[in-house]
Amino acid sequence: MRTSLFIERHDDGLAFYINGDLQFDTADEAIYHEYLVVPAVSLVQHRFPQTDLRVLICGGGDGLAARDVLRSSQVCQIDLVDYNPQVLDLAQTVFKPYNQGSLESDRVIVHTQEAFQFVSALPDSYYHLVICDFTYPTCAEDTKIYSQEWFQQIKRILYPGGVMSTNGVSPENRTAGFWCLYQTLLSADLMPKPLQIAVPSFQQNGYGNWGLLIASPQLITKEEIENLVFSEDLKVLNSRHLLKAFKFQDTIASSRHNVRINKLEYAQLFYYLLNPAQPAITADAANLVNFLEIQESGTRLLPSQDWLQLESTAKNWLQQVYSAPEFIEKTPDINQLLPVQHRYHSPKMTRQQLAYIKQLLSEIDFSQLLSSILERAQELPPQMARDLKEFAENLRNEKPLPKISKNAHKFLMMVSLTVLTASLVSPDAVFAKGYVGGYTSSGTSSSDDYYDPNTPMYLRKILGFSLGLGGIIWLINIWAEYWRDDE
Amino acid sequence: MNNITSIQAISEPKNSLIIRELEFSEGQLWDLMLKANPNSCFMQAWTWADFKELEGYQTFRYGLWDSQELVGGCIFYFYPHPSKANLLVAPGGPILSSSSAEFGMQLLMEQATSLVQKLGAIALRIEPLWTQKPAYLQGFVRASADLLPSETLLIDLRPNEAEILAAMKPKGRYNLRLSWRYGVKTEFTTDSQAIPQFYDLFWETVKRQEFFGEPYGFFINLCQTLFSANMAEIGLATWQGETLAAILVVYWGNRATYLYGGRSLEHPEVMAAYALHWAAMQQAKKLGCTVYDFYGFTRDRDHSYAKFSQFKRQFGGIPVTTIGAQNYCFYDQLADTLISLLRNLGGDDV
Repeated sequence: MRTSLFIERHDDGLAFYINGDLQFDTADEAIYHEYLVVPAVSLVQHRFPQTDLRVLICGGGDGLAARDVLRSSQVCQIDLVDYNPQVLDLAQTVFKPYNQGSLESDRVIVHTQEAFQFVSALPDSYYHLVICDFTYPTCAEDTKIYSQEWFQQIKRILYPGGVMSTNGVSPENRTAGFWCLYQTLLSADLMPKPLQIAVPSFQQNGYGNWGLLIASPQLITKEEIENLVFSEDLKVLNSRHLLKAFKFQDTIASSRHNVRINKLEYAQLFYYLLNPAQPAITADAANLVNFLEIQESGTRLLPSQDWLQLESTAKNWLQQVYSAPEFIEKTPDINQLLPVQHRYHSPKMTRQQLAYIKQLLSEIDFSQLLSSILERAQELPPQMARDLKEFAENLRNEKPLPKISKNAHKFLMMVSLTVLTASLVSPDAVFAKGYVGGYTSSGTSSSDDYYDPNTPMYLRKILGFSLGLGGIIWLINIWAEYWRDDE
Repeated sequence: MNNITSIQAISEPKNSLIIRELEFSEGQLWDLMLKANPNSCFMQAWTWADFKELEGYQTFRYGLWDSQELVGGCIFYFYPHPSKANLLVAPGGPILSSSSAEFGMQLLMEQATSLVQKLGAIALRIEPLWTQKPAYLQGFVRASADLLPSETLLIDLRPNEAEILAAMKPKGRYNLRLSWRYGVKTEFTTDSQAIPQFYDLFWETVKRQEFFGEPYGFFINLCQTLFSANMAEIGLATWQGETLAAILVVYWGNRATYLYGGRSLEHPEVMAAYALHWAAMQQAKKLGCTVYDFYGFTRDRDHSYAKFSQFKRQFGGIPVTTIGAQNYCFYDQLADTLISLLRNLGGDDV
């Protein structure tokens, strides 16, 4: 996917956006960059005294992280790898007053390359510090550089006592995504300490509090952090504020035990970012968990499937409807029943699409569909083929459908799921400028029924209605519960 | 193939018409042909397709050629997804010449069939700006959702200023004059620095009206792409230094389309939105447009657009209804997806 860059100019600075996501605002970028860079640099200085330090910055093409690494005279070499030449060009022109010309320093070597490829070719135990300053993932592909395999590579190129610091996501708004990163780091044997910071410009853009992670193959102790000494010329960071950043509300922190890690094969992180589950309020919000006092090995829960795949959702539907009562989840994960497919969409937008299921199904000529399927009946399980044949005959003869077989019901569910998913895949899907029957993207509707005089197929209409009731009424009911809760 | 046969059956092949993918160098030629077509739509423009690519869509740009003359075609859009539950879409398309519409459609359908098989999709959704559904679309059914509003309000910009003003509703004329008396100022710009100003008001309106609004990044991509092709402008209405209304207008061929907008609740008495749309019409006229499209309208009082339509109606104009989005289901493709699901997950219950 191509990248779009945008610089929003203010009277006293600028804000920089990549793919519509705010990267930094000069008014408060120091908060993010000082927390991302300075504690990690101080820690390696402490761990490797009297040593020339080698640092790798992955991403960070704007030169702002490099500026803060260069504060340390102990750093002798910074390799900066960023795949985007346009951002690197901005760093040396428009952003230069803010990054203080960091990329022109003779201690900095810039590599215009894809980071994973660059890191894979590096020797073992080469860097004292790795800083990952990547953009927020906008597609599954973007989450590769947050995968277990990526972090294993980082561990490989670090000295055993080396440190890494990485940009995260919002622990407040993308709680599962943030802990997914935490658990993924643990699974790569990099022991992370999470931090959260408040960046006003991020909050104004609705991103919430922001999360970072500092990690190392060697446990980072509370004493080490407490003993870090920071220079006086920092804009925001000091010891007291840093120690506070490691403390998380219990309601946020407790959900870290339930998330799966991010692997190259299944982009679990991307699923979590699109489908943020709000942490249940189970404890006093004032209870804080100090991660400097925690030492844990992590869940190492592997992702079992790609939750954005049609087959995964289908599996969840069937489980929800056909499992023995004792196995049916009373409060199923609503996101897994109809996941958000695109970053422009919210769970509410996705759910809203259920209101149009009748219209969506009315577009299908079921006689023709069943005929296409039954032409390939030998590919279906035998009883399924027999049941669908009988179902097709009943439709053809316009027999009433008081009771349909379980297999026919499964078929109807799968049709419902397929047309629903198809209607939700593209970013434009939820911003339609009109819905037949008076619906609009506002979510309000009239009571008109869909009826196209050019395609007067009584059977199709009746069947569409039946499907609405028989196929996914259970799902609508589940959502109705959530809607009530929302209100 | 299914319904393709029905299209073939009614078609009289015109042997000289061929279809082929357009090359990058043919972008200008495509746009010229498109603008000359009476059912032209900006969503089929070359630059619009570039914008959609920036949004992550794949685009497939096909031209219909008659004796080496480009006479029609279609830009198909596809948003990649790992599953086959997907749609191939052509908002504003296809573009067909009246002399070879049926055969042109047949060629495009053959191309679409090949694309859905290759890409993995279950249906094609077209959305031409036609006011009647031709017989050769018999395999298509009305889609449940329209990306383009199927009913809209068009203002004829050919008359002079006084005549356009006279064609407005009395209340609209009164409010417009009120905005002039208050001294509401308007300006139109292709400066990207206006995007945040526009978006602040758009988002305020989205929240107030409880619509689903596109995110900031969408407008960055949209404006930056269209501005560089002089295909759109942001219009701003200010009063005493405060921006009270903002709109995004797309210029394509003879039509200026009011695509997005927003207004503040501050100072409703100055009628900033009236001043802004009136200025947008004058601006469109200056740029050679003969139609101002209010992009969405309803005569139904219970419709959720009713309130907006009431405002738009004050400018006069003629409501126009097009056939809306039409879906063509590829049943073999849908069957394929379902068989895969039923075989892998469905079990076999007796």
